[in-house]
Amino acid sequence: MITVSNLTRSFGTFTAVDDLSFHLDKGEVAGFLGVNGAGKTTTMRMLTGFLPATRGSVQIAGFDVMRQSLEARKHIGYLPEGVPLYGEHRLREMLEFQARLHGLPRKTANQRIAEVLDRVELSDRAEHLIGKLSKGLRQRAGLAVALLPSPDVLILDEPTSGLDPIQRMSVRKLISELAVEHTVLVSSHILPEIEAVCRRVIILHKGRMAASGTPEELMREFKRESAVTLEAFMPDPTDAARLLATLPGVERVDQGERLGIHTAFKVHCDEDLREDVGALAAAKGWAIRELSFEKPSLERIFARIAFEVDSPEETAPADAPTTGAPMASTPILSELPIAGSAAPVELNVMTEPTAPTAPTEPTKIVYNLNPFDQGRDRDLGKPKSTGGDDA
Amino acid sequence: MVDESKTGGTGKWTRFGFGLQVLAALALAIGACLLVVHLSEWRRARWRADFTASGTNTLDPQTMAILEGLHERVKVDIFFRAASTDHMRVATDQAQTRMNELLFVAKNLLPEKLELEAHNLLDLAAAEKRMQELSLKEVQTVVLSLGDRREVMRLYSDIAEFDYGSENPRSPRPATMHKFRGEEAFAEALKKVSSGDSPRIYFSAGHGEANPTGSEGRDLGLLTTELERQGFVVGTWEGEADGPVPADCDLLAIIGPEQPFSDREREYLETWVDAGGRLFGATETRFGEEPGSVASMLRRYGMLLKRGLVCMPVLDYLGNQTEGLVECTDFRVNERHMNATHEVTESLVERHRKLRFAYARAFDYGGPPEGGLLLELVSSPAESWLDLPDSNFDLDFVLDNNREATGRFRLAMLSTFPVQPLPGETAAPLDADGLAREARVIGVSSPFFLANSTFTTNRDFILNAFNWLAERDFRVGVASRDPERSLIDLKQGNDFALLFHSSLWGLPAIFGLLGFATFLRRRR
Amino acid sequence: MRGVRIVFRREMAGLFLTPLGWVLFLLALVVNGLYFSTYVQVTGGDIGASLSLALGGGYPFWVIMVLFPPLLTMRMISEEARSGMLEFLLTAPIRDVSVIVGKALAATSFLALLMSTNLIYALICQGLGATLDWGHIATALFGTVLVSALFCSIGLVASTLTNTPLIAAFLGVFVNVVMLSMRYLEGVLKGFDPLVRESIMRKVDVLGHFQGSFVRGALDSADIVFFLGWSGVFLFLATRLLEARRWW
Repeated sequence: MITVSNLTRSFGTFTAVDDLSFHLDKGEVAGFLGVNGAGKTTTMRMLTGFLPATRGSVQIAGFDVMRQSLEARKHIGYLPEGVPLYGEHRLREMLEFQARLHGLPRKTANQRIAEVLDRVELSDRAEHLIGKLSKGLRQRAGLAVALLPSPDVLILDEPTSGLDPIQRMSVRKLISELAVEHTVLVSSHILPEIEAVCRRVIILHKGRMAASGTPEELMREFKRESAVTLEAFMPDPTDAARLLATLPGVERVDQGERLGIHTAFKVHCDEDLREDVGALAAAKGWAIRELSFEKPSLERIFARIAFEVDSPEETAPADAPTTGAPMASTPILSELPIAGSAAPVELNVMTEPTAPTAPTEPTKIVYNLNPFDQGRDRDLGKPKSTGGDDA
Repeated sequence: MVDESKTGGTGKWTRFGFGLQVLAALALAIGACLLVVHLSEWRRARWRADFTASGTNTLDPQTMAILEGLHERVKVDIFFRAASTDHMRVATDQAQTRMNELLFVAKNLLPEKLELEAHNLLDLAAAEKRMQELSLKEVQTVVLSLGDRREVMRLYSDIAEFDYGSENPRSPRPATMHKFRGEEAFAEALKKVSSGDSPRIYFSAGHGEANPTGSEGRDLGLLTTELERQGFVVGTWEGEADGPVPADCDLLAIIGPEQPFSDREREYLETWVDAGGRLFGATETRFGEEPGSVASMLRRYGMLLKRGLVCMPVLDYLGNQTEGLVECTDFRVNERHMNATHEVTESLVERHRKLRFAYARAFDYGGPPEGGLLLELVSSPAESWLDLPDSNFDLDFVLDNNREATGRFRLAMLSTFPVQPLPGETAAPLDADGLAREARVIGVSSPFFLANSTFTTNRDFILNAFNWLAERDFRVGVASRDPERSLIDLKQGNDFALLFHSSLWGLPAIFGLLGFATFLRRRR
Repeated sequence: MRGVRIVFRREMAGLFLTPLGWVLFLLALVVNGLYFSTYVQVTGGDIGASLSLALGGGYPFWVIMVLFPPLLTMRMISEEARSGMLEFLLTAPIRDVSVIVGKALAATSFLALLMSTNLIYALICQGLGATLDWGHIATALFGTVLVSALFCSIGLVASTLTNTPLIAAFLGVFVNVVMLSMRYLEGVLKGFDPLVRESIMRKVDVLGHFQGSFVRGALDSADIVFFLGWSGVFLFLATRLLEARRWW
C-alpha cells in the first residue's frame, strides 16, 4: 500500500529525512516514533505529496505521489498535525466539504458522514461549530474528516498531541479500531501510544530510520538492554559483583553506589536471571532489598536511540567499578563455598503482569537452593519446578 | 549524520534552481501575457461594443473611415482652459469634457493613428512652447497637425454651439451648450490635415491688390497662413510680367485691385477660366465698370455689380438703430441669409456662422453662363439698403427712400459652367475623375472680405470657397448624438433626501442586520 | 474545474461567515453611499454621471479597489498555511491551481457583490423617476469585476509570499498601487518614440484600460484580454509560489 524508497528531504543544508525506505502492506498499522524534529512530520508530508522529496519516491496504492499526485491523493486520508479544520464551519459542513473534495456523490456523502460521525462518536455534535469544539472532540472531528472518503491509507500526524489522558485513550482506541480496515500510519513522540496501537514501529532519528519492525522484533534486536537489578546488603560489594558476573548468561555487572547499607547492582543479561541472582544471594546470605528484572521495553530502545546512547557503558557512572564476564567461569564456580544441602526453598515471586499466568495469585516456584547442582545443564530461563499444586 | 556526498547536489542549489525555474516560468507567463495583450490590440482581432444607450463610445462610420485612412499619425494638441467667467463655466466645461471624451474614444479605437496631448495649466511653459511651435495664439482650441499641416478647431465656434445666455445681473442665465459638433469638426479637420494634395493658389499682383503676406488690416497674411496650413501652395501672378496664367494654377484669386487689368491680362484670364479655371474675385470699391475691373470680369459669368454700397442701420450707444454713420457699411450677415444647400455655405448655415462685409456692393442676377449655373451664396438682410452716391459722388449712409432701395442684396455669388470643347474637338476635356471639367467662379462684393481684419469672422466661408474651387471636399455630416442625462430633482421634493438616507444609512443597516443575523445563527 | 467550484464555495462561505467579510462589506457600503450621494449633489442630480463615477470614475472607487482585495485575500493563503489548512487543501484530490483560482474567484465575487450594491442606488433612482442607461451600468460593473479579479490575484500572490496576513495585505496594497500608478511610467518613458511609448503603456496601464472602455459603457476585447491576461499571470505566479513554498 505504501512503498517508500530512498526518501530524502533536505531543507537547505539540513537534511530532515535521509534515505528512508520501507514498505507497508494493506491493513498494516505502523507507527512513526521519534523525538520532535526527528523527521516524522516531514516524512508524512512527503507521503501525502504535500512536500516534494529531494530524492527518492513514494508510492501510495501503486501511484507515485508526485507524478500521479491526484490519483494518489484519492487514496490518502491525512490528518495533519494540529488538526486543521475551518473553525467557522459546522462539523457537518466541514465533512460535506471533504466529501465534495473527494467527489463523493451527495447520497453516498450523507451516508458516509453519518457513518463516520458514528464511528468517532460525534453524531450529536454534527451541527456544532468546529471552532467551539474541545480539543479532544476536535481531534476526533479531524479523524472523521480524514476518514470520510474511506481512504486506503490513513496518515495521522500526532493524532493525540495536546490531549488529556482520557481523550488520548479514546483516540487511541479509535485508531486501533481503524487499523482493521485501513493501512494506518501514525506518528507520535509518545511511545505507549505507538506500542498500544501499532503492530509495526518505525523509529526515526535525525531523519534516518533507526529501527523498524514489530515491537517484539525490536525487543529481540535490542535484548541486551535487559538487566536484573539487585539491591542488597553484603559485606563485600566488590566481591559480590565479581560473583554475580560469574553467573551464566551474565554479560557484565555494573556496581552502583552504596545506598546506606545496601549496594545496588545492575546485572546485564539476555534473559531473566532473577532466580539465579536470588539463589546466589540466598546462598551468600545477602539481605535483598530489591530484586527486579527490567524488561527490554520499546521505551528503552526508543530512549536509547533518542538520546544517542549507543552503548550501555556510557550511562554507567565512570567511577563505578565494572566487572566484565570472565573468560572462563569454572574456576570461580569451584571456589564457591557450598553451604547446606540442596533442599528446595520456596520463594514467592510476583510475576510480571504481562506473564501468561493469572496475576491474581502469586505463583509458587520451587528453587533448588544449590544453583550449581545441575548448573550448566539446566535451562536457567525456566524455574526448575513450578506451581504449588504439582510441588 | 548528514552525508555530504549525498546532500551536496541538493539543498541550497536545489532551492536556487527552483527559484530560477519559478522566475523563468514567470517571465514566460508575462511574455505570453504581453504577447496576448499585444495581439488583442490588433484591429482585426479586436471587438468593441458600445452598450450605452446614446452611443457615446462609437464614432460615426465616416469619422472612422477618415481615421482608418490616415497614413500617418496625427498629433492632437488640446489647449483647453477653464472658462474665465462663471457665466460660461458650466457650458465650457461640458463642451470640453465631451470633446476630450470624443478624442479619447478615437484614440482608444485607433491608438496608432492619433497622438493626444493635453496642454493644461500643470505645465504652462510646455504648453506655451507648443503654442509657439504651432503659431497658435488662442487657447480653447484643439490643433491637429500632420507634417506641416495644421488644422485648428475652436471650442466656441467649431466644437460646440452655445447659447450664451445672459450676463445681465438682473436676470442672469448661464450659458449652455446647445449643440456639440465636435465629431464633425474633428472629422473635417482630420480630412483637411490628411489630404495629400497641395493645390496651387495664385494671388494676382501688380494692380494694388491686398498684400498676400502683409499683416495690416487690409492685407491677407492670415488667409495665406491658413491656406498654407491647409496644404495650399500660395504664389502670385502678375500677368504683364509672368505671361499667361501658369498651367499648374488651380485657383486664381483677385482681391480688390485698385488698377484695372490690362487687356492682355484680361485675355489670359478669360482664356484660362473658359478652359476650366477657378476664379475667386473680390470686387474693388470703385463704382466704375471700366474694362479691366473685377466687376467687368465677373459680369461675364452673370454677376452684375450695382452701383452703391450696401448699408445697414447700426446700433448707437443708446441701442437705437442709427443711420448716417460710416459704420453702416460694415455689417454682419447671419446664416438666415446664406444659401443652405450649396456646399460652400451649407456648413455655415448649420453652425449659425456670421459673415462680415465691409464696403460691400451688391450683385445683380445676370443669368447663368451658357450651360452653367449661377447661384446666390450670401445676401444682405432685408433692412439693408443700397446707399447710392449723390451728385458729388459722396455717400451719406442714410436711407433715402426716394432714391435708394431697401431689401436683400446679393453679396456673394457663384457661377459654374462646363468647359466648351476646344475648336476641332467634340468632347470637352475631362478632369481627373473622368467628369466633364467645369469652370468655377466665386464673386464677393467686398474687397475686404478676406482681409486680416475680417478674416477670423469669414474664415469658414473663405476656406470653404477656396476648397470648393479647388475641388477639395472636406465636408462631413455627422449626426450629433447627445447623451441623455438622467436627472433627479435635487431641490424639489424629498427625492434626494430619500436617496441620501437610503444609501448612507438604509443599505448599511440592512447589511449590518444580515451580518448580525449570521453572527447570531453561527454562535454555536 | 470541480476543484475550483468546491474551493470557491468554501471560500465564499468563509468570507460570509467571518466578521471580516461583513465588516468590509459594511465599510464599503458606507463609503459608497457617502460618495454616491456626494456625486449626485455635485453633478446636480445626474444619476448616470454619478453611477459612472461610483463605478470607476471617481477615486474612492479606486481606493476600495486597491484596499479591499488584499484584505480579502490576505488570509486565504497565509493564514491557512499557518493553521495547516493549506496542508489539508493541498493534499486533497484537487489541483493546486484549483485552490488558487477558487480562492481568487471567491474574493472577486465578493467584491463584485459589494460593488453591485451600487445597483441598488440605481434602482432607487429609477424608482424616483430617473431614466438610466442600464447598458452603461452593466458594462461598468463588468469592468469592476475584471479589475477586482486582477487585484485579487495580486493579493493572492502577496498572500502566498508570507505567513503573516497583515504583511500580505500591505504587500498586496503596495503592488496594487504600483499597478495603478503604471500610468506615471509615461513620464519616465518621455524620451521614447511616442508610438513605442504608447505601445508599452498599453501593456501595463490598468487605469487607461479600465477608463478606456468599461467606465464609458463599452466592452472592448482588448481591455478584457488585458485584465484577464494580467490576472492570469498573477494567478499563475501564485500557483508557482504555492508550489515553491513546499521547497522552502
